[in-house]
Amino acid sequence: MEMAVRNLYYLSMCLYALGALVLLWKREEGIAAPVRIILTAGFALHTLSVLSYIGLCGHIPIHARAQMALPRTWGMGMIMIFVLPNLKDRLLLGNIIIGILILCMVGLPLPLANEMGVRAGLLAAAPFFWFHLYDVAVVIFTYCFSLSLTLLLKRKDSSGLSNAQLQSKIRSIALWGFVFFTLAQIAGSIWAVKDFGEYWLWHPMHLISVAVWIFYAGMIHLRWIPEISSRRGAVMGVTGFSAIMWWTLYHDYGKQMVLFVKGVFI
Amino acid sequence: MADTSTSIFNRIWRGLGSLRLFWWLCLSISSIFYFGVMGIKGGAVHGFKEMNKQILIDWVRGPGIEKPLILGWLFIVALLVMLLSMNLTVRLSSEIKTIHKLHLDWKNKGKKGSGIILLRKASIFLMHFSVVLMILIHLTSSVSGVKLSGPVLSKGHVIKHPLLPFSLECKNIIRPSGKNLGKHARPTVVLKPANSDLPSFKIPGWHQGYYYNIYADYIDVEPESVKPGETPKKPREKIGLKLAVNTLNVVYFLMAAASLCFIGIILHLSVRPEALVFFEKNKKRWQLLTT
Repeated sequence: MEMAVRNLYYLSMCLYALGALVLLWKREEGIAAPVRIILTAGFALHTLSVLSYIGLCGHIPIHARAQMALPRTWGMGMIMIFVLPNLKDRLLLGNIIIGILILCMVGLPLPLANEMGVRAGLLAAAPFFWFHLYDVAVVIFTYCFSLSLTLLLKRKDSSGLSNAQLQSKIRSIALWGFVFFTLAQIAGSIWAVKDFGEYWLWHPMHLISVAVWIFYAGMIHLRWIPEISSRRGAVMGVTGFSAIMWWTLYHDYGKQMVLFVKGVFI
Repeated sequence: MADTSTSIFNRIWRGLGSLRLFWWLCLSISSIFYFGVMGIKGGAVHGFKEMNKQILIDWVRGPGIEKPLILGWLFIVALLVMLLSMNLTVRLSSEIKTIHKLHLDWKNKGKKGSGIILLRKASIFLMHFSVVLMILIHLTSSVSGVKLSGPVLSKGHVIKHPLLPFSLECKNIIRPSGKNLGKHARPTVVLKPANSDLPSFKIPGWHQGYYYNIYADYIDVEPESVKPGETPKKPREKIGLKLAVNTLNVVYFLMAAASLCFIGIILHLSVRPEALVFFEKNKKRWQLLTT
């Protein structure tokens, strides 16, 4: 049963990847019906897998890798579904799917539901709500990455959102991501004082959190600096997301992914 | 001559409070933190965690001298953060002037929409002010308070340290049993102020303004007695429980700064132009919902 639920999740990711491939392969403008069907089916399976995980664990899974993969990819899936009906911009949709697949890859391998118990250590004492604030922030930053990548890759003659619309969206989305990240940082430090007696430690995890926070603080101020081009804002959107992913990979979980890849291919 | 010096001062003042400088500082601080992480994770820097065992200023004066790489890195971080604080402070001083002017406009009802602009400026001021406040609070906590780490916890052992409010006797160590304990995997230690009538208390937790924590670490093992002519054996490494204590004397100020930041964020999100356009668009819906 647990294997089946996990495979359901992997299957939904395969459908997203298939949707992205069809998007690339189909040359006509607008979203073709097959793509829409594939992506909607992928999202339905994705939702089913998340609900099954919650059903089997009795709560939203709070395991290091599940924390990254399950709620975050599902959040991006929601954005994709909202964007899907009104969208004529294939590039943006493709980039949203790329964002989902990167989040999935970074969170690999997804543990089985019976392994989703609360892990000893830092995550163990973490209250769910505060950790999910980080999830919301990462989802928003991933969407910001998709928009930024679209702006960078867009040709002048292509249809869909104009450059000005994309820039305005990037600014707005980055601000929301920053707000959620800030709230998560504040909530996390209050919790740390209560549970560990300290709000700050000289530790790679804390350093990267501050690095990401201050990076996006710089990014959201770009709108008031006309001498710095808005294209640089898009570059920051992509770099910031890479920084978050690098943090996730470089942290303890990276080792798990290497083991998983070795287990599958070697 | 006076004009020239005033104009130079004004230029420096404007430059110090410029958004461009702020942007570059954000990028620089972010990068230097990343370099730090790469140094730690890559194994190029050792002893970084030692900084957590005492107040930063004590570490800089003591063990930090032997770690020039970390000390240099810390110096650059301090320099950049100081510049950022100056940038924000200069910005705040100019924001105060604008807020005062807007307040007068709003009071005299001279300009349409000045109230919203006033709120918008006030929210930005609150956010920036809270960041400066947090930097100052962190600086205070880096040079004041109590922080010590290292005394070994073993049953019956009395811990004496000049930084502790009283000598502590380790009465009991309660180790949890079973599998998959999750957050209950940590042991609990019962401490009692030695030679005193004060009641015993359990740690980890707060007690009379001090936070007592437990952590596992290698402990020194006494070398075995060596007979003449024998080569001494290398002592085996042993893991034991150790005590960490700190007082966070700035916690209430930190909470106040965080609350200010939170209020600023909510206020800004409510009165920024995009939000107002959104409210205006959905005005009819709200009216329908409320009637």
